Amino acid sequence: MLLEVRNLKKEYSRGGGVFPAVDDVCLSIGTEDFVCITGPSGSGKSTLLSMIAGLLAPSSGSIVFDKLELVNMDDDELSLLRNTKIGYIPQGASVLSNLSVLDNVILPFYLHKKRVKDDDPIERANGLLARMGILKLAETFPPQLSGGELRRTAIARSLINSPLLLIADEPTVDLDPKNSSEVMSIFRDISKDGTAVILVSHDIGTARGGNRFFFMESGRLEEKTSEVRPETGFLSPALARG
Amino acid sequence: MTSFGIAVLNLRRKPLRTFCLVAFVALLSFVLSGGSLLAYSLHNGARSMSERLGADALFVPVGYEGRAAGALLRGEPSAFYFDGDLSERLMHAEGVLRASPQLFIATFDSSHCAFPTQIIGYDPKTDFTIGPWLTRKIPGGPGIGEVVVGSGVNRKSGDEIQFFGRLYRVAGKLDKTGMGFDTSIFMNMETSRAAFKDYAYYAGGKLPDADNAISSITVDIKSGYDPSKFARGVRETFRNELVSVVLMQAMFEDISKELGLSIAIITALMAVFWLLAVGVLAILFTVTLNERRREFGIYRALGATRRKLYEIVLSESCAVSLFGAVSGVLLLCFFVFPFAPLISRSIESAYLQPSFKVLSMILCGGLLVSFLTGPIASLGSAAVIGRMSASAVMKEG
Ligand SMILES: Nc1ncnc2c1ncn2[C@@H]1O[C@H](COP(=O)(O)OP(=O)(O)OP(=O)(O)O)[C@@H](O)[C@H]1O
Ligand SMILES: [Mg+2]
Repeated sequence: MLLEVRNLKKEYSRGGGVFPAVDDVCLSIGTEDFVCITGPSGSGKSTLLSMIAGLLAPSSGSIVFDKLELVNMDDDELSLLRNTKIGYIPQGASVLSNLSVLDNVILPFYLHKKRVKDDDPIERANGLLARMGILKLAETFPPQLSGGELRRTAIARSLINSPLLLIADEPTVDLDPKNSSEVMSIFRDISKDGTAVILVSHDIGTARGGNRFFFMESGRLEEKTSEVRPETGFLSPALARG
Repeated sequence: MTSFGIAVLNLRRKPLRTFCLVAFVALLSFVLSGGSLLAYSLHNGARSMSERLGADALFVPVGYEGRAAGALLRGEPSAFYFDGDLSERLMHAEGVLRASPQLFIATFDSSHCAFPTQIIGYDPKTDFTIGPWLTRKIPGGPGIGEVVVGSGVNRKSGDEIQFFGRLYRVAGKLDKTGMGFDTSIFMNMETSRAAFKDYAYYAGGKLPDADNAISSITVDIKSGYDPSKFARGVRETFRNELVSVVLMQAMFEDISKELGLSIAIITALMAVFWLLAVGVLAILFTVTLNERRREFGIYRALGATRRKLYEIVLSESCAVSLFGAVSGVLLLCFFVFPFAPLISRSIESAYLQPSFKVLSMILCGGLLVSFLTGPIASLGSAAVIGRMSASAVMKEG
């Protein structure tokens, strides 16, 4: 198993009380998995992803990634792990507006010293941009890009260091159906190439695009087999925010 | 793509913010270097003045001590005289090594004088304070009907200059002294006694006998004599003649005290200004950092360590303050060098611009201190980054 999450819990205190944003979550993922998680707003999806990416310390439980226990690692070790083995696409706009598309994509390569000397990040970045279909935008700055182009930039960036696991938080929100399905097919290709993918989406159709499907509510995560149709209703347009 | 490279990209994409920060540091560096230069030049002027006059003491009539100082140091036109034939006796007073008399005449701001200034009559045979400043030695000193002009007087050798309706030929010029000498006119005793008669004609009133009058005597004291004992002795001997002794050392101490206060005020103002600048920059950095929480959250999500973020922030502030500090000093150079004589004139003779070596040291110091402002001010940002949770990226910004 690439990722083993056991009894993971994150408690937040708010308004005097303590409530679990992520409650006793267990999850095992292998390299061949393309995991999709859906659930209502505030159910704890982003909180769960942040803990898996080592950005947020859990209240209790364990996360073993690539045979390493994240809970025992310090901030610098987690940063290195995130940089080298995890591609993380945060929710919302995550492309740095001060850097060009190309600089955004190669940035993670330079955040830590790399062992491989003869690796040319620019060549790799151009390859990724070509794969995303936005190579001609390499020198453009983010304020001049569309939502779909920004998403593709973020995906290219998350792949620059060839991660073992790709975590994408709402990568298709705001996109029209055509773009949305194009982005999903990019993720499917990434998954086929042997990178594990965890993807969160409000859109149940999009969330059906993986090979495993989870539903999250009030901090609890539940896997749905393909025959069982998840309850509808939580995806009323009013709830699905971007 | 180093931290510094990222910082430069960030600065380039925020030109207005960067320009304001750079301009602020430039102002700081201008004020700090300019202030230090001014303070040092004043200090320099005061210190070297006592060396430049080259006399230990000055005999003047009682009550005119301040005006004698004003005439010699600042070139303030004044006229005051000993009554009667004292000079011979004074020049041979107990403890005098060498002495030379001067006659001060104040010219008028009117058609029969070139401009209001100080005429100093001196005796080239005994003189030891004026002659050494001559750009070219004049054997025997200026002749009858001739004058020597201070470096600041707009006449050259061979020119003519009018005082009290009479024309004098300029026979020589002094080097820059940084004292009242720079704006004064010098004559030998004979010429000056003639000019004194002209002066008496125009000034009217009761004036001493032109053939004997003198205004002051510059004196060097024999070694082994204590200056203050010497002064007391002379005052005692010439009590009836109302002679006062101005000890140069003491006089310059007074001036130094006055200047010292100005210098202290300049220094204090600069220190306050610097602290304010550090404070303002620290607030600016922290505020922008808070606005950039999301941006830094993204860096963290991509695997940047806290240290890396701090490197980026520090590089930004270093780049800004380096650029600002250098522009400020360059600006100062553009201002100071062409206008140095003007500054020197407007704040009187006590201003003496330091040598090139000292000047570059002062400018480098100002540059360094203003440059350090940025990194020091961004120390607070380290605290903000330290407290910033890596999961800040979860919140939309
Ligand atoms: N720092 C925090 N302190 C307290 N409560 C928090 C904090 N961060 C998140 N929460 C709460 O934890 C719960 C889970 O938040 P989370 O962002 O994981 O939801 P989500 O499922 O990603 O929602 P969305 O679909 O809207 O993105 C929410 O109720 C949220 O209000
Ligand atoms: Mg979320």
